[in-house]
Amino acid sequence: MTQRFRPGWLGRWLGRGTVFFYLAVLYFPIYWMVTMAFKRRVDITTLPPKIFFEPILDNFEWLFVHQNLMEPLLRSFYVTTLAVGIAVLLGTMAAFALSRYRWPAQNHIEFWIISTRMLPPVAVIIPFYAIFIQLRLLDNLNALAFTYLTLTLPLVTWLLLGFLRSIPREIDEAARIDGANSWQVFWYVTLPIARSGIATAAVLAFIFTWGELFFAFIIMSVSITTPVALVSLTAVGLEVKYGEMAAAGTIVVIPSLVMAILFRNTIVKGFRSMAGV
Amino acid sequence: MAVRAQELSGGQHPVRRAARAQSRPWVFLVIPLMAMAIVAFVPLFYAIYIATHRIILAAPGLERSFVGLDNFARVLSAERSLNAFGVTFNLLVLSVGLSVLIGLPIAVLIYSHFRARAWLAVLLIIPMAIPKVVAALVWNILYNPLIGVINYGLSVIGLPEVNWLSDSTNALLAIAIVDAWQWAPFVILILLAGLEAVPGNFYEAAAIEGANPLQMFRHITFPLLRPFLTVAVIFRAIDSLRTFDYVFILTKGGPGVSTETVDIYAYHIGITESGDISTATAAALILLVLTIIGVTIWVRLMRWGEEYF
Repeated sequence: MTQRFRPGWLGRWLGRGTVFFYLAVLYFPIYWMVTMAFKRRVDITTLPPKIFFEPILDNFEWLFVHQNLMEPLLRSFYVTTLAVGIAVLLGTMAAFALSRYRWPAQNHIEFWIISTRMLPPVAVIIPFYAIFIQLRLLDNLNALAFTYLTLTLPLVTWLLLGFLRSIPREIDEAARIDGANSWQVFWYVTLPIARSGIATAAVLAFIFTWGELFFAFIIMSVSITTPVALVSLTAVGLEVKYGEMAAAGTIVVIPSLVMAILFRNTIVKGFRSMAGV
Repeated sequence: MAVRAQELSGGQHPVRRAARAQSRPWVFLVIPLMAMAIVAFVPLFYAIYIATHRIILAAPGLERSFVGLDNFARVLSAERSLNAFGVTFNLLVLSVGLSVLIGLPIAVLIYSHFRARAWLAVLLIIPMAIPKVVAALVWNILYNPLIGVINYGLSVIGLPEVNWLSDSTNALLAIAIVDAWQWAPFVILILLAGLEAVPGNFYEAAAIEGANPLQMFRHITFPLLRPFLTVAVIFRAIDSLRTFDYVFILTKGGPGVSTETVDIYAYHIGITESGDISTATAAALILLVLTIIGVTIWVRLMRWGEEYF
């Protein structure tokens, strides 16, 4: 607090000013993208940049009428839902088992789960690419969702493990004394309590999967997902379509932002427990 | 009969009942772990297979012969792949360095000057929720030499314009700036959690002893913050080693090979250029081993230094 360091009024305002300046820098690119999405080409290319301009919707119209952005968006929703849904289902089970019981080699299992984060994406996707060529699964949405499990499953398990550890075990011991078996304890006791933790894990997994580019770029060629569509926009036509790109970026950001804002407090905890803090 | 015996023992002997309650639900662990093994081990083992064989996707008729460690030797001797490891390391140092350089002071300032820290934390997670692709595309526009506002801003305050992405000396820094822009908030969040955990009476005691704020930071805040800093650096470093999106969108590894990280290098030679997935995978596996060694050394170093505080 302020009295701990006892800064004078100058120090206080310098400190606050620095933080506000940092926040301004942090939010400037977002502000810039969103306003650019509503700008005419002339307004985008003029320097000094215009702060006040007449907003238009042409950029968004172009994306949906001429580029059919709806299809990649729907594909992305499908893939993300699948990858996150399966990860939540399996991850909750694993986290329940690991947090409620002692297992042989428990520490090794847990370290293994967290260490999958160290796998370089190329080391994962090139083998999958080679496998999918042989199985004729390239350009397949379900195959893409399967590769995303390498990201979502360890993440969800890890987050829920931390969350379930923080719930006292006495609660399910009480249920067990009343005669409930493991399934009943899981279904009637742990799941209801863990609902907010599961939501947090699902939202974080959604955020990281929704915008995933690398795997999708390699696996998908025709039925591309939104991030790939976004990149391919840079190569449409003769001139770079800045306004349209900004509009597409704005659309892609919306689901992640809405989720982040809706679940703001648990997401803050989730980001921290990603690092085990 | 067996069922009845179990029921009886379950109902009547507290000790046996406790033992039964402790019997582990194997299904809960085995199914998810099998799934995890499939999604993580199958590619890893297949990667080892690919890297120890000679497989060129562009020439599928070619025999898949076992070549041992030849691909690894090629990666470790070729100039281009060694350059990729150098670039990856430089990018790691730049982006982790920048995010700590920004994150540490801002976290301390937020902690010492703001009460509404929960709200600030919410403001900090928003940039992290933006897909990396979008962040890279936006910064691409900001860096643009013709319409970008960064160079315009520099010229307004009288500084020379910078060739952010087309100059090989600046391009890597430009990528690291984007990375630090999006992920310094992560460092801040972790460090704020650490600062909240410092007991307030440490500062009171120090104040009574007549310590100034700088001494308090040096002797109280920093030592107690160190485990949090370790964790933040490890996670930032691992993420930085996985950076594909920023580099791919901003420079595609260029100009020349000046920003070609291991991921981009492996993507180029494995997928787009020659289909030499064996060399690409070997490079990726070497990166994995280096990552594990690096993380272990870093954790040791940070523990080793603790006794000096």
